Amino acid sequence: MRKNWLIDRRTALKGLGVALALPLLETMGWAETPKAGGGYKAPIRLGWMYMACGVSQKHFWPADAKTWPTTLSPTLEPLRPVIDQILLLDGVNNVERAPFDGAAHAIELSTWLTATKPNAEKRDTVNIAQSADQIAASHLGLYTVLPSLELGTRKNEHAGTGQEGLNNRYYTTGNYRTATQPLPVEVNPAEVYKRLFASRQSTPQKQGGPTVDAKQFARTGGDDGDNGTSLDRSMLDLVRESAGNLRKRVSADDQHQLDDYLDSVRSLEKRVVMIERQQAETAKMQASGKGAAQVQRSPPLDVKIPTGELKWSDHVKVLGDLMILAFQADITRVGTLIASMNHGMHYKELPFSESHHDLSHHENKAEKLDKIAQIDRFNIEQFSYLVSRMKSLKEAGGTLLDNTIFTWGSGLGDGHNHAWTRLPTIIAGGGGGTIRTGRYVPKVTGNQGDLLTGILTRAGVPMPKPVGFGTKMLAELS
Amino acid sequence: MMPRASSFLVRPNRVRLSVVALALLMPFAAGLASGVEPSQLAKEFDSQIKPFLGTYCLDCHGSKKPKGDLDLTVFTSGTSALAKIDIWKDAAGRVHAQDMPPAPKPGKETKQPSEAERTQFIAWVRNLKHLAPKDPGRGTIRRLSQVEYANTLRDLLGVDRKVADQVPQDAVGEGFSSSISPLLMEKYLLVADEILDQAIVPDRLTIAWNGGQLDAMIGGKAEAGKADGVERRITGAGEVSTLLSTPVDGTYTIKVRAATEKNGGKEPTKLAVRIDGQVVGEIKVTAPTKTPATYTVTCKLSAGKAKLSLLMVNPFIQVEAEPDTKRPAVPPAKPGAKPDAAKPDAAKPEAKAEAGKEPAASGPELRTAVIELLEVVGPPAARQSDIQRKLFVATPSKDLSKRDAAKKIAESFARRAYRRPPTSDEIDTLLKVFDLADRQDEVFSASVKLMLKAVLVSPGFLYLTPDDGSISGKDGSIVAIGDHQLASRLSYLFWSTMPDDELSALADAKKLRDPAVIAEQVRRLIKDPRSRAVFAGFGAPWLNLDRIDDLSVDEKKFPQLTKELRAAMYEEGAMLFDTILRENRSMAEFIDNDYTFMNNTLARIYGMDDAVKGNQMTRVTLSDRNRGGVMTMPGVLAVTSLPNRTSPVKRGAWVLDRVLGQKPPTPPANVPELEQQDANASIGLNLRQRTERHRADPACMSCHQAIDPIGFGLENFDVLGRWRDRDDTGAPVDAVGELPGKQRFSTPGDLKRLISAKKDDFCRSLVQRILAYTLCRTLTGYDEVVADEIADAVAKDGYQFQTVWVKIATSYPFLNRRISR
Repeated sequence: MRKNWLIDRRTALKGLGVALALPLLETMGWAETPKAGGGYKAPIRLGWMYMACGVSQKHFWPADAKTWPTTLSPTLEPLRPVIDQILLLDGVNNVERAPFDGAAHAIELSTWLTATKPNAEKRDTVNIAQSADQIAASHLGLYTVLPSLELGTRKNEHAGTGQEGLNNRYYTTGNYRTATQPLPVEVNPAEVYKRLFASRQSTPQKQGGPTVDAKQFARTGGDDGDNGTSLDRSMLDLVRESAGNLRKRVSADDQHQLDDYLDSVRSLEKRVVMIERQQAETAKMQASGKGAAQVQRSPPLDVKIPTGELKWSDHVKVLGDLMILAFQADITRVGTLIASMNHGMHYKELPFSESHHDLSHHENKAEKLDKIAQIDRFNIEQFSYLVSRMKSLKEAGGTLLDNTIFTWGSGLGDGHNHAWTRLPTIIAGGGGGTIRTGRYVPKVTGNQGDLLTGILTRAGVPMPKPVGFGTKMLAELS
Repeated sequence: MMPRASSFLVRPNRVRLSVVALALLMPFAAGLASGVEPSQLAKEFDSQIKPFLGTYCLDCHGSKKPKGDLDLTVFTSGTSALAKIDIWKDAAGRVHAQDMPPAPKPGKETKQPSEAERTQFIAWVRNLKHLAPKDPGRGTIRRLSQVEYANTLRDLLGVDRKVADQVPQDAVGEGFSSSISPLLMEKYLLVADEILDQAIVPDRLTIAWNGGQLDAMIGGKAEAGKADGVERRITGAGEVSTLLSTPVDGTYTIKVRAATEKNGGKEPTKLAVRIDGQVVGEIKVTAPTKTPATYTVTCKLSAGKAKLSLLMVNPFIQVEAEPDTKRPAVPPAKPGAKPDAAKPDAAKPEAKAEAGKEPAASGPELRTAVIELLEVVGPPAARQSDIQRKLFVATPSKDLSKRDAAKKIAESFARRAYRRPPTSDEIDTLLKVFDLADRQDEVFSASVKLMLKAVLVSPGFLYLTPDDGSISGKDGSIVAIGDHQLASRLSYLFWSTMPDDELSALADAKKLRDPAVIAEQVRRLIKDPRSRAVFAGFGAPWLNLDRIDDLSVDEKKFPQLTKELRAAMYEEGAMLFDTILRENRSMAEFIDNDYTFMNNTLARIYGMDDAVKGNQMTRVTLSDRNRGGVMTMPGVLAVTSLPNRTSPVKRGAWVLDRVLGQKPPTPPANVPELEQQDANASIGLNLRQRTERHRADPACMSCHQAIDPIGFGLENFDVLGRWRDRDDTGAPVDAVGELPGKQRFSTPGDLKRLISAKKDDFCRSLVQRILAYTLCRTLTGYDEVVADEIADAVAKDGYQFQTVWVKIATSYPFLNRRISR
């Protein structure tokens, strides 16, 4: 009762060593795919990392496919240490923007993972489509404590409408759980940490005892609480039931509101169940002394949570590390990191002070293009760092990176004319052998929807229809 | 990003309104007959509009390859025209901005309508809004914003609102996304946990079980306790147990009323008292069954749940006592469960084998212990917090069962937390939650805590719901919102928090619906300092001062923009807003006035640091006529700049949008921005000259001729809003300009006065903005009529700011809702 099932404030941030000393990797998700002859097949993880405003195309793409990867482009140079793990795709176009031409920066982010335009009739509200990561989460998330993780360096925009009358959330939201539910990003690394490593302590319900009737006692077998449900979970269950009754009585519009609520309560209950199951399995494994030894893997990634003001690059790194750690510990298999949004930011760590957006309208001037290229490269440096981190983590006979599809990109090709063509698209990781890396494809045969469809299919997500305006799986992924 | 907001006169961004066109609009703003008949408008279409279209539009927008896919010939009659209001709104905007018909080009002559013809067309379109049926809009529930949630927790429970800092930030208003994501739900539960853990002190544990209520494992046979069980007999090897919830760390007294049969041999019958298998004490039972005695053990326990058991230590009657040395070592006690030091021999006894696993012996004679009662008393409860005393309106006693006490607490708390009387279904649910914990033998306060947690994650608390959550009426029917919902609407609008006692009492008494009572309440709410929430919720986003905190500027160039300065800039706007609101001053003072608020930090920006000392923000009279009003406020000037330089375009667009209510259209995607056209041609030109070159482009002209002059009129202020005579290049600032209509100005002060003259535009746009904020949606249809009526009334009332709020709080869409099924 006193111990929250979520992490206890007082014990928060005491150190990862304790939280991850558990052999929890093998206890949960991995167990769903035991390989014949013992061991486990690692699940596929999906990561996305976003940069706003497009790139300097001429600095971004390699000059010649034939000499690649011997000669990389200036922007992509930081990828050299991991270049064999990289698949570079040119020619991915996003959905056409009309009638939202005047709101390119709302569209760039909101269409990146949806490949769908906002509903023009309901433009002042959020009404778009479930994003690819959330389609993935609805399937891959069944096995993990968190269905997905959404991180960003800046909090989402407030209410209001902006250019073309579009709801302002479109400017700052890439992830949509449903067509009408924009997901907030978590910005504060300490809060993310707290959420990931929620205490695995739950409160067992009593078996037997003075007020428990014999029937119930018989049903639970009188063992000591492992199968019990926490009071929080039972409480949520009752609250949800009551809200369900309320739902029947309210107006049709209000029912949609309550549907989101009910769904979120259900998701919370599920999370409590997952934590309980994990707790029970862990205890069993510890008791039997099995588990950890069956899969060779690296110790948990060492992540230091910084305090105080963060440099942008440190902020990106620590959020990325937390996402990787969550992948490694199988807390989630789907993560998005919105490293920048178009909100007038400038890169204080670079030696110029023009805003990113201002520079992205570069007029083809060499000086501005050069600065844009520096910004692009700086973003790629962070991406490369994270890819290397994934590569350093061993699991199931390979590395975490081998079992991940980690996409870097932007929703615009070139910020100058707000082009939605030739989106910069880099994929890192082998996707469990489904992605053929170490390649540069100068001309792909599909669009952003096809790309997302291809990625999801490779992660084993059943796809009854393609994502957004896609029509097929992008062939060039493998 | 361009400034945001919407004008609903015409669809945002489709319109290009110039200031001159706006001025033309005004004569039609007031005094429209609200009972405009569709037949009249249809007739006017036939007699006036159709000829207008024929003369000026159909050349391009005819049936053959119509420009922009707009074929106006399909509108053959007034009836068909009235079915497509959006098209006409769009067209009016373009005609208004003199964007359509397009200006004549060499080789392509276009006929241009006279001013009177344009005016007639626009007036007809403006009248179309009266066709909208009287509709208050959908009656939707919405969740509390982060700010409202934090404030409500503060007022409901007396906790620091910082507890809600971990909840994602958002703000109510137009476009508010009311969806509750799983992350948000999780945070709500976390916050509820934290608050209640702090607020509720567990009460003293006193709990007792009859022996027969305990679970037993005797002779290898398990038997669950029975609710009506009386006593337990342990014969031979055996153990009785129960799950014990200890609310706090501390010293607990465990009392056992027991007796023994066949107390033969040298030893008494010994029972080990164990917590989760660890021995914490031992009792020696000697009393015969006819006169059972009470034996006591005290021990220190940590808070939590544990299995409390009594284990027979010496099941066999032996003639010789077993030597101590042969006993197995006592396992190390887990932290928190320590044998009491006062009983030196308490830790020693230990059964040889686990109870129940030992085969029933046939040889030696078995002992029997009879357990009548097991009782646990915890340490005295800590002093209750004030919060807890307020929440616990009832305590269980002889005359009041635990459940009835819990019901009283639930009813009282839910009434306040849900801001309306809870339904019986809701109370039933809460009591079921209470039962969950109570069945686990939690102390009363802990069971209540779980119940209160349920309140804090219930939709009744998280959403602003209709009075009893139920609808009556058919689909599409319009009903008045309930009294308690009205009380909430008012308190959340002005205080961003739950209704206070006075509002609640008025709602309970059903007296709140009277417009005079509402007006009185609005003025009372505004008078209260909590009405600062109006600035945080509405004022700051309107002025964009909500962005000042994370405004990105070149820190090397502008090291002065410290946290302190940002705070002072925000505060200046807040205090001006607050003054105009609470002193019920004219809205025109937002545009121009002779006072403001500053501390020494901000005074340095104003160049008045000799006069204003200290950190305290104080009211200052301004003698400089270039200062005063929102347009020349340093905070506003900063948020409309770029990180390294001023942006006349951003500033001009801001004034048009935020002050005059004209949303400048977004530049078309492929039109190059400033300096982009011909880099070589721009060499040697200053910012103004380059901007003017840009404006020479016909694609840019129609918008920039309205935007740029205003922005350049403010060029005397640098990025931080400091006065300057020379710009970044060292050239003298040229702030001379002209607004459409040949209104010339040469200083920011002149410009402000020209804009002040358009206070009807300002008033109307602010009313629209406030109404959209209040209703949390984009205004449509009938809302336009409401906004117009309010703007007219406010103008008649000398533009008093409180009048706006009173009129909005008594307006049709505020008081009613449409049912949808």
